[in-house]
Amino acid sequence: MSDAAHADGGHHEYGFFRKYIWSTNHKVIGKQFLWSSIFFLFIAGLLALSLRWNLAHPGEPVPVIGKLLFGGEGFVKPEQFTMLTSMHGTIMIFFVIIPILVGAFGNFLIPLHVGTHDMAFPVLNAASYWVFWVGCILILIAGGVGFNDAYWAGWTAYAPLSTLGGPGMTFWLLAMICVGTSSILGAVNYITTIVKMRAPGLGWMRLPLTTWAQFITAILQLIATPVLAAALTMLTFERLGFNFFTPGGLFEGGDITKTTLSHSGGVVLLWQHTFWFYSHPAVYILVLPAMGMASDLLSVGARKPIFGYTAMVASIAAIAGLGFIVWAHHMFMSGMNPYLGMAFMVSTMLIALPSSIKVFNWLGTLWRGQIRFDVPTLNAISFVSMFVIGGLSGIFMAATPVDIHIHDTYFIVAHFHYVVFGGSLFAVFGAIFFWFPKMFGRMMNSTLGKLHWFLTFVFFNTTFFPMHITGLWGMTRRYSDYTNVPMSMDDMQSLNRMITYSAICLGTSQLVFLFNFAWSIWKGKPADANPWQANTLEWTVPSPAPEHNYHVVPTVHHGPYEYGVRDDKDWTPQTETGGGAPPAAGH
Amino acid sequence: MRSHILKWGPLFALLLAGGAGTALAQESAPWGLPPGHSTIAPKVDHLYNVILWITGVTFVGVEGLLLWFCIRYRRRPGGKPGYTHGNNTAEIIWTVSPALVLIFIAIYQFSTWKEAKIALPDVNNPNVVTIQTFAQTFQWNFRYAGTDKKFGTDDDLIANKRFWLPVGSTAYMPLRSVDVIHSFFLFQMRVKQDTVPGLVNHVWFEPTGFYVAKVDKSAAPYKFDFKVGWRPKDTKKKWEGEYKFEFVNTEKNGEKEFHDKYGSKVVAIDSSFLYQDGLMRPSTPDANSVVIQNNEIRAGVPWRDVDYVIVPYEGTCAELCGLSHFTMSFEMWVVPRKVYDYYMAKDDFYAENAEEKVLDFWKQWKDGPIRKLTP
Repeated sequence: MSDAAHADGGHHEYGFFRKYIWSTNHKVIGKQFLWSSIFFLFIAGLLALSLRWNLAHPGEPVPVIGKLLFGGEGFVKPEQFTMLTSMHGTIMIFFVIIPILVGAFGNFLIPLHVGTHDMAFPVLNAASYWVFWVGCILILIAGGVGFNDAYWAGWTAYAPLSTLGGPGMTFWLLAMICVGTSSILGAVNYITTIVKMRAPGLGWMRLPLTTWAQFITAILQLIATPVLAAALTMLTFERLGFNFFTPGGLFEGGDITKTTLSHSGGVVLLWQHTFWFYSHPAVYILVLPAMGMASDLLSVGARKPIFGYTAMVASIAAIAGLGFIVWAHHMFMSGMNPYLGMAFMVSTMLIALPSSIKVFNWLGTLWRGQIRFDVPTLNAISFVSMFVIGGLSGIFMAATPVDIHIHDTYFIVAHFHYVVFGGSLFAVFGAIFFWFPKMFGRMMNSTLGKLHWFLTFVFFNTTFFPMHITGLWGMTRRYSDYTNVPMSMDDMQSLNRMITYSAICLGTSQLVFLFNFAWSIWKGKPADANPWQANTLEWTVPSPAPEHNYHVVPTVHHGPYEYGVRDDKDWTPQTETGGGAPPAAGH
Repeated sequence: MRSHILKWGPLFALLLAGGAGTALAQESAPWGLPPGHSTIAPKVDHLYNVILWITGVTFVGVEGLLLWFCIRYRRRPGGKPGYTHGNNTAEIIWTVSPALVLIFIAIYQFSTWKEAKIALPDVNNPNVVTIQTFAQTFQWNFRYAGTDKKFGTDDDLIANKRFWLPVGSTAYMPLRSVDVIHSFFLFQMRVKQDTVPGLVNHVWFEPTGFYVAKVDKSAAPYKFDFKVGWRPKDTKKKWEGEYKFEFVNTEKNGEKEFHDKYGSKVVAIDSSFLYQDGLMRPSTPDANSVVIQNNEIRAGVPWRDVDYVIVPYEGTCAELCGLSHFTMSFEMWVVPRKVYDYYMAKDDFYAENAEEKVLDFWKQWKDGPIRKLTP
C-alpha cells in the first residue's frame, strides 16, 4: 500500500504495525475489510463450485480440489453437501457482501464524502474490524471441524435442527454473534459521522447517494441486528440446556443428532420470526449500499445529474422502512396464520414500488446522457439490468399462491442470486474499479476490467437463469442428489449440468479480476487526483487519499451531481462554485 | 474503449446466454411449469401466468429502454449531456402506475390463497379422506381412520412412505412433525406446507387424475433400465418405446374415464418393486405384480403379462431436515376405488419396519387438535 509515501506531515509517524495492521485510520480499516471479503469471496465461491459439481455429477470426484477438500476419493458426501450449502450461504452473506459493501466502502468513503479526516470514533471503528476478524476465524472453524461435526443447518439455521448437531453449530453461532457486534459498532460510527461531521455547506440533500445509502443501511443495522443477537443468544443457550425453541413430545436421538430433543414448552416459529426480523432487513443491507454506489457510477458515467435525487433518497428510506414489515414473507409455508400471510403479501408487494422508482430514475439518469462505457459504468449498467430481473422474479414469490409452488425451490435460489450477485456484486466490481485509484493511487487495467465484466455478465446469466426453470419444475433447494429420488427430476439433469459448467466458467472468470486487482496495486498506471472527472469531495484530494484526508476542511457549494453545467468542463466539483440548478430535484 | 463489441456487449451477451441455454437444455428439459393435476393447480398456474405476462412486458420494456439508451446516448465527440435534475410528472407517472399494478396483483390473488390455505374442507363430507400425517427424519408416516371413521381405534391403518387416495376425493391431511421442520411438497398438486414440531398444520387438495405408463412388450423386460420421467406424451425421450406416459383425467367422469379406456387391460397397481435403484425395471420378467383388470384385483400376475402400470405422484421434503434430507420422498397413489379398497382391506397395509416409537406416537395422537382459522 503506497499510503506511506503520501503520509501527511504534522502527524507523528507510526511504525508498520500501527499503520497497516492495528490502525484506526478509516481508509486502512476499509482496505482490511476489502482484503478479508475478497478472500472469503473466493473461499465461498469454491464451496459453491463443489456443491454444483455434486448436483451435476453426483458421486463422482470433484476435479482438482476434490481430494484436498473432501478427502478419500474426493467426491462430495451428502453430509458434506449440506455443510457446503450452509457455509456458502453464510460466508457469502455475512463475510463477503455485508463487509465489502458496508465495511470496506462504508469505511473508506463516508469520511471522504462528508469532508472529514476520519470516523467519529476511530478506535471503535478498529474494534468493529477486529471483532469481525474473530468471527472470520470462528466461521472457518465451524466449517472445518470435520464434516460430521461441521455446521450444516442451512444459513437460516432453523430451530430445532440447529439446536442439534456437532460443535460446528456452536462455532457458527459465536461467529454470527461476532459479526453482529461488528455491524452494530460500525453502524453507530457511520450514523454519528454522517450526522455530526459533515463539512460546511454539505447539507443533507447535497450528500452523494452512496453516503445516503450507507446512512440508511446503518440505521437498519442498528435497529435489526440486536434482534438477531437476541435470537443467536437464545439459540446458543438452548444448546447449553435452556429451552426456547423446542416443544415437548418429540422423538429423541435418531441419526441426525448426537444430542437429544428432551425439551418441552418451546416455540419453533419463534426462531423464524426473530431470525427473519433481522435477516429480511439484512437482505436490503445487502443491496442498498450497492444501489447507492451504482447511482454514483451511473451519474459519473452518463455525465448527467441523478434523475430525481429526492425520489432516490426517499425510496432508499422507503425500502428500509418497509423492510421491517415484510419479514414473514419467508414464512408463508411455515404454518403461521394464513390471514397473516395475506397482510405480509400486501406489504411485500408495496416494497417493490420504491425499487421500481429507483430503476426508472436510473433509466432517467442515462436518458440524454453522454454515456462513457468505462468499466465502472458497464458494471453499474449491468447492476441495473440484473437487478430488474431479480426484482421482477420477486413478484412471483410475493404472490402467496404462486409461492406455494416455488417456495424453497431453485426459483428462489435464482431470484436472490440475481439480486445479490447480479445486483450487489456487479456494483461492487464497478465500485472497486472506480475507487481503486483513491485507495491505492493507481488505475486498474481497463482491458482486463472489460474482459472480466463481459465474462462475468455472460456466465452469470447462463448459471443463474436456468435455475428459474429447475425451480419451477419442483427442484427443491437443499437436495444433494436428484438421481435416485425424486425421479421426476431426471429431466432436469442436463440443465443441472449446464448450470454447473457455467458456474465453473463464472468462477474461473473471477481470476481475471483477482489478477487485475493484485497486479494493479503494484504495477498499475499511476492515477491523477480525479481520473473519472467526478464531483464528490474525495476527488479533490490526491490519489491515494492522504492519511489525514483534508488539509483544509472543504466548503461545499452544491450537490454532488452537477455534470454538464459548465462550458469549459462537464463536471463541477462540490468545492467549486458555479453549479447549476439547486440540488433539490424535480423543479 | 468505444469498440463495437462493447457497445453491443450487453445485447450480445444476452443472446449468447439465451442461445446457449436453449441449445443445451433442448435435449430433455422442459420449460415453464410442470403439468398441474389438482383442482387448485389451474388457479395457481393462472396467477403465475398473469404475473409472468406483467413482469415479462415490464422486463422487455425496461431492458429494451436500457439497451436503447446505451446505444442512443453513448458518448460522442463534442456531445453535450442534457442537464436535468428530474421531472415531477414523469416521476409521478412511474410511481403511480407500478403501484396500481402491484395493488391489482395483491387483490387478484386473495381468492386463490383463501381456497388453498384458509377454506378447510368439511371432514364429514364422504368425498373427503382424512389422512393424518407426521414427518420424522427421514420418513413420512400416514394414518387412515379405518371403517369406524375414528382415529386412535384398533382399525386404524398406518402406512409410511406412500399413501393411497381414491379417484375423485379430496385429501385432507393434518400435518405434524416429531423432530425437526419438514415440508410436505407435491409439485404436481401445487401443494406445499411445512410440518412444524408442536403445531398441527393442514394441507388439502383434490387430484384431477393420475398417470398410467404403457408397457411396450416389444422391448425385452430386463432392458428397462431407463429412468421415469414425468412429462406426458413425451415423444422425444430415449425411453420412448419402453414406457409411454398417459394422463387419465378423472375430474369430470370419475372412474368411468379409467374403465372406458383401460378396463379390459392388465394394469399393475403396485409398481413399487420397479423403483429399486431408482430405475424403472422389474428384476425379472417373472416378477409378480398385483393388477386390476375388468375392475377385479388379481395378485401374482407375472410382469410379462402387464399392459399398463399406474404411476404414483412423487412428493418431496422441501425443508432442510438433516444430513439425509435428500432421501425424504414419498409416493401418492391416486387410484380407482377398487384398488383403494384393496389396500384399505389389507391388515398390514404398508408400514415397512414401523418402529415402536412411531406406533406410540400414533397412539397419543387421537383426532388431534384442529385449529380453527380466524382472521
